[in-house]
Amino acid sequence: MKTRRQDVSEDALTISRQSSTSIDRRENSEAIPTDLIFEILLKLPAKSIARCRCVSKLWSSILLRPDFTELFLTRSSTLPQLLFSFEKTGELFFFTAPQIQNPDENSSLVSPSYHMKVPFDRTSQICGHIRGLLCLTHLRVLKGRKETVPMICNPSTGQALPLPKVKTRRVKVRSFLVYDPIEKQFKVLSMTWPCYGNGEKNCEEYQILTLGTQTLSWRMIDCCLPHHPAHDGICIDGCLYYQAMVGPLSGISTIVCFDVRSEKFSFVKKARGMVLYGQSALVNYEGRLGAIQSDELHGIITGQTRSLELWVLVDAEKHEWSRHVYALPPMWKNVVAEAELNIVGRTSTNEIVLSRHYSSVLSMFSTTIPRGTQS
Amino acid sequence: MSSSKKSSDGKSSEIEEAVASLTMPFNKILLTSSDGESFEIDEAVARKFQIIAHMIEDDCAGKAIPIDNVTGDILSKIIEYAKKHVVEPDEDEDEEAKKKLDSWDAKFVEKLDLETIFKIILAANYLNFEGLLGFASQTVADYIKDKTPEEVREIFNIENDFTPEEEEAIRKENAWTFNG
Repeated sequence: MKTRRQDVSEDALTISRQSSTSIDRRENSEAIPTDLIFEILLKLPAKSIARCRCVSKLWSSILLRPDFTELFLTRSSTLPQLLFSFEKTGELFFFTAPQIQNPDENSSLVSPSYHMKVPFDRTSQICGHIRGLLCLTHLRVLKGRKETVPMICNPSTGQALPLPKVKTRRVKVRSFLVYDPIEKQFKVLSMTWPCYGNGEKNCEEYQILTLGTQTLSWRMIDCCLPHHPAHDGICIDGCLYYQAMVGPLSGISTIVCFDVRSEKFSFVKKARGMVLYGQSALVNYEGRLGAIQSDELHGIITGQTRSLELWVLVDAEKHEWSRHVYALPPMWKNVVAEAELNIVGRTSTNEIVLSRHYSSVLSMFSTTIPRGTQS
Repeated sequence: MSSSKKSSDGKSSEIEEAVASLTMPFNKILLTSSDGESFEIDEAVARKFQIIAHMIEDDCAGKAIPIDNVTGDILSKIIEYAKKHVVEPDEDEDEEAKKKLDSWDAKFVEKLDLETIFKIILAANYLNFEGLLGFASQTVADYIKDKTPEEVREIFNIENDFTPEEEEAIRKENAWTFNG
């Protein structure tokens, strides 16, 4: 009772509902045509998909098809999960937990599932995450020289892919993981700066590595607007945004917009009154760049904070922003008390997630921003 | 809908049928399996099978429709499922009904062996019965999700066409998943 795979290979790779002809061609009525195998595989959890690549060459080719990946991502994004990472004793652990739909009704504890861990020390950095992939960099010492080695991780399958080291003799490297939705390519952008002297100098040695190509290698690119990245970036719709300082001591702070496809930099001026502190104050607000700050003096978010300001980038070329103020609920000061919080991210249901600075206990607060507040 | 042709005796049965269909509240459709078994079902149930629904729309559904690719035992299971799912309860509006139906579905597949489920998948695909196809596919997916590649090959009767080196290379790439 064997399946004759050779018969299936050529025309069965196109999806068609009327695949009954393939039943007639084989004596064995049990044989499942490729398009139905495709449907079954779409319903597997991510870990099982990786395992099924070993089943046969046909299955492996189905699972590597771009339309399979797209459909799988579309289906799994209907059940969003939150990805947590925390660091302990030289390792970074990844967990996921389902997003609570109605937190008022479901006050039970959520138990996260463990996915993978990677080595992580003081010199390691998380460089961004997009579409389920994460990028980290490690500093390793080889033959007396320090090298920055990036690594791509996929927590849902547990895979990790080390990349070639960044082309530099310098130790100070900042990298960003970005995605171009038009060419459907992932890239890593890196820049370096010298570590001597006071103040951060403008970066040089801007370089890009494109993932998914046969040989992975870094290409140097031009940046006609030298700057120094201040914090993590966020990639929205093929553009990477991050806060940066221009010029070593001038203190001009701006937002950099890097177009992933054309690999060009541009600056977006901040709006007056927009002073962003803290790690990840940039968020994706309904497909546009959003910047969140508190109403407090130094932008710190504590129990005393009464409102949050959301700036949304309306027009990058004209440097136009719209501003919205959200009052925090009165119980905020009881819940948060003396803790100092950083914004760590935004979920797909418009909740801002905040976490304590330097805490050994993972505690999360979230507050919801109403949708569609901009015209 | 109304054929008012009054012709010779040979046509009178057609007129009888037409009159009968006017007076009957619901049409019955007769499905005949490849091995000659007949099933009379309500039109509403038959409409769950898109190929039959199209035939009804195009008015070429006679009283009896032969289903050449499906045997009687499988067809009877499919009809059983279709009857239960004629009206799909809305998850938000009627949670109780949804839970009951889910539990019926679970008992339905529990009694079936894998070969039957495969046959159901093929038949549901032929009949274009989305709901059952999705459910049966999910059942198979849940069954194989924790199996090793060797076990999956056995289930699907697939030959391993990788060389030992190729297989080793893929396993290395997926080393994390095998360790769980």
